[in-house]
Formats: sequence, structure tokens, C-alpha cells
Amino acid sequence: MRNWLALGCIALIALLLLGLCTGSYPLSLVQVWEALRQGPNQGAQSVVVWQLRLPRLLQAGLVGAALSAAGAAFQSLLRSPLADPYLTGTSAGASLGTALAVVFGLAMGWYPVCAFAGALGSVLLVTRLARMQQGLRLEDFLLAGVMVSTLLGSLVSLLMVLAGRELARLVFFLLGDLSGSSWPMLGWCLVPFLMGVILLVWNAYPLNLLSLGEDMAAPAGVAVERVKMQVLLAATLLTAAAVASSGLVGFVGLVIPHLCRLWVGPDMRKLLPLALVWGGVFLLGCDWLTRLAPHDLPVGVVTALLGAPWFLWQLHSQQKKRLC
Amino acid sequence: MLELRDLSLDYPGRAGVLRSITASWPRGEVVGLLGPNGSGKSTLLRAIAGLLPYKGSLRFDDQELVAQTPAWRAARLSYLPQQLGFQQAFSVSEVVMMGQFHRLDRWGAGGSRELVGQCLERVGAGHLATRSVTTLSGGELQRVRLAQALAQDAEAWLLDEPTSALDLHQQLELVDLFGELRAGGKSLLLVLHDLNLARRLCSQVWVMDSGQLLARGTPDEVFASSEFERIFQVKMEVFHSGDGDSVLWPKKLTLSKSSDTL
Repeated sequence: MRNWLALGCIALIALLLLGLCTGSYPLSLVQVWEALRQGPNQGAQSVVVWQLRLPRLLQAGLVGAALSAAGAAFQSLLRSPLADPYLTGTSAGASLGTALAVVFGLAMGWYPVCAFAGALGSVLLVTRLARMQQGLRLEDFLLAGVMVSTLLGSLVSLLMVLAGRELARLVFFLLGDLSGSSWPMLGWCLVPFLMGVILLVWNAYPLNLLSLGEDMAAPAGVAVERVKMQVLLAATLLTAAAVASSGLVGFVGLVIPHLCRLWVGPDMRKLLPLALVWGGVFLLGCDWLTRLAPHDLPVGVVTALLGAPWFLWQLHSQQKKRLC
Repeated sequence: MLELRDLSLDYPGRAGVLRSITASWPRGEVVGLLGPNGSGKSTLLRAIAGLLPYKGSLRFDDQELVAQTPAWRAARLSYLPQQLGFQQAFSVSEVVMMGQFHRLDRWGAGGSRELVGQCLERVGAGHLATRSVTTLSGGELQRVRLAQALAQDAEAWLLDEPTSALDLHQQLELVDLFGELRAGGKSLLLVLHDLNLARRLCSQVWVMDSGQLLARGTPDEVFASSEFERIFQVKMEVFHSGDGDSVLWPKKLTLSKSSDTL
């Protein structure tokens, strides 16, 4: 586990440096170092590094880490490798909340609040529909999640029709986009992110027992309902932090926890730090790829283009293993 | 030790799954819970284990169970369900370690690895320690869950058909284990279908039908009762072997309802 974590941290630093150097205004590592040393607003290089690239890169790392940790939480809680913030309807709720904030012209600081309200509303609705209090039924939860997701997605589409001047912004938002990153937005999203991570770390070991089933967790001494609610709240906060700042970035919450689980197993105490780091690495890598493209490319397109084939390949190898 | 008073339970759309059950489970007793399929045995065990909401009262050493913390309950009651499958690839030792959850700190530290090894050895599963629980057979899973319950070290054990996945040799080993637990002062409540096993293991049996507890007493008293014959539609005959041992043999009575046929 330590090797994977160390490798992830090295990759994270390397991608941060690469991201600071790469772009339509290329910079050498020495120039980046000078700009970082000088501080913000000290000439063109300093503006590029401090105002454009650094907030975007940190935002990418935060969004990747948040989605990946939320996915790991959902997968453990629902005992399914298929669960992620999308399939459970949480992202759709957060996107509706943020889209409403955009359409009504609210200040940026309200985006995470609206995203959290939307995500929480969606989770509560899905939970209610799945009758979670009678035992957590995976199939019901995922089916309700897909249906609520579809319903909320259509409401976002309706908002787009009514959006007028904000249409272009909403379209990019729905495709998953990091170009609007800024220090204030990063600050606003850091709050729900940290709250979510702390809640998940606090519940990591009880979640291990819960991931083996309530029949095992409750008699062993886990306060099942409290842990379930806290983990759902954490996943909701993390999803809201990600969606409010960068829109709908898919597959990170599905693929990265799945990959990390293959490396270190299902123990959340090991899986969570790894998912946080490698989620950040994945999205920083994808963001770097978008900046190599001649046109501004939403990062959600790249995550889907990489994530979907990888997941299909995994499915295929598992089927082959079963046949052997 | 455990007092059940007017215990009732309804499922959504199905009332009377448990109906006004009143009974006492004394400390150190091995109680066999018998009854036809669907009579509410497993539901009763799940309710006592705190997995289902119920009406009425469940008191352990004069303390209402619902009012206690999960850790307090875990130190007193452990539960082995009938369905044992795991979907997460934890190792066998990790799962057995989880049995000590109520004694560990929030991060899962403070557990005894030595105890984990001892519990696994006790159920003959020491060689499985590093295996993933998703790769185990039914019998191996059963032994791992028993090792986990040993690690939990609760005062009373609730076991739902504990012999169902075991072969004959393993069943006999389990009988020995239960004997040791009883000698060590543990109390056991077992859902069983094997009447000879119940007769061999249990100091008393409870018989359920349609969510009600209809007969209680020593195995021989209950098996000879008319209530038992009515519920199971069988008459028990005792066959004595030369060495003083005896076995029960059920003889089918005429079925009273067409729905009772297989």
C-alpha cells in the first residue's frame, strides 16, 4: 500500500509541475520556480502561474480526489463495484443545484451550497425510494438512483432551454470543465471537501464491517444507521464539492476506487488515502491532455474516453477469469 | 438472562410475523429453536440480534436491549446468520479480527492477532488465515464465521442453522465446540431442523409455528407432546441401540391440509 501511495504522491507532484509548464504560454521549470518565488501579480509569468494554472491544477486535484473518495464510499456502502456518484443520482442532484445557481445568477460562493442541497435532496429521495431503513437493498438503491438521475438530468436540460445567455456556460458545465477554476471557487469547494474526507476517515473501519453486510456489522457492535448516514453525507459533500466547481466529470468515481481496490483490497483505511491521491493524479493527467488539444476540451470528455474502455476491459478480463 | 415479553413483529404488507412471544432464556442454557419453514425462527433470532425493529420487550440481565449501545450489545450477544456470503475480498484474518470490533478503537487498532490465530485454529481453519473470504466454500465460510464469533466472545450466541453447510465430520466437531462453550458458561440459541442434534445438544427446545411460540420444555417432553405432532404432522418414535444410546425417528402422520404437501 505504501508503495502505491508513494508512487501516487510522486505522480501528483510530477503532474503539477508538468501542468504548470504546459499550455499556450509554455514555461520552463526555472521560470515556474521564479514565478512561484516572486508571488502573485509580478509580471506575465507570475499571472499565468498564480492566476491561471495553479488554481486550475489544484481544482483538478481536488475534484479528482473528491469524486474518487465518494465513489469508494458508495462502493463500500452499497457493496457494489458499480456504485459511484453518477449511478446513485448524487451527481445529478448536485448538477441541478449548481445549474439553478448559474441560471439565477447567484454569486460563486453559493454554487457549492446549491450543489450540496441538490445532492442531498437526491440522496434522500433515492434512499426513500429504496426503503433503506428496511435494510440496504443494492438493486433498489441503484435502480432508484438511475431513475432519479434521469429525472434530474431532464430538469437540467429544461433549464438549458430557458438559460438564454448562460447556455454556453451550462453546456460546458454539463460536459465537465475546469477552465472556470479560480482561487475563490477553490476555497469554497475546499470546505465541503475537507468535511467529507474527515467524515469518511472517521467511519473508515466501521465501513469495512458494513461492507460485509448489516447482518455482520450490527451484531459486531457497529452503529449501522449512524455510520450509513454519515457515509452518505460524506459522499454527498464530496460530490457537491466536485460538481459545483467543475460540473459533471464522469468515470473518476467509478474507475479509480475500482483500480485502487485491485491494488490494496477493500480495507477503507488503506483504500481511502489511495483513492484520494490517485483520483487527483487521474484528473490532473486528464486535464493535462485537454490542454494539449488545439481547442479547449472539457475534461469530462477525456475522463469518459479513458475510463469507459478501461472499465469494459476490466469486465472482459473478469468474465475470462470466471470462465477459466 | 434474556427475557422476551410480548415480542411482536410485522413486515411491511405482512402482519404477525412474530406474535406476542414471551419466554425466558436462562444463562448457560442451550436452547434449540424448532419449527416448520416460515414459522418465524430466523426472524426471532434477527430481532434479538437487533437487526429488526419489534414491539414488546427484550431484556438482557434486566437491561432493555434497544436502550443499550451497540458495543454493550456486542459484548453480550453474537449472531451467525444463515446466509454467509461475502462480496468484499477481505482476508480471513481481517474478518475474524472484526469480531473484536467492540473492543477495538475507532481505527480498528488494539485487537489481538494471537487471539485471531487461536480462534481460527479452534475451528480448524488456521490454514485459511490469508485466503480471501470471497474464495471460500460454504463449509469454510461457516467455520470462519464461527471463529469470528469466538473472537467476539459474547456471553450468548444466536446461531441460525449452524450445521447447514458442514459435512458430517465438521458437524460432530461443531457439537464438541458447542459443548465446550456451554461448559464455559456461554448460552446458545440455535435454529435447528435436526431433532437428534437438538436432543443431543439442547437443554430445552422452543417450537414455533405461524409466528407464535407454541411449545417449550426439555427435548423429550416437547417431542412427545401432541402440540409437536400437530405442528409437524409427525409422530416421534425412539429407537434404542444396544449401548444405551437412542435415536429419534419421525413417522409421518396423515396430512391435514393439502397445502402441507411438498
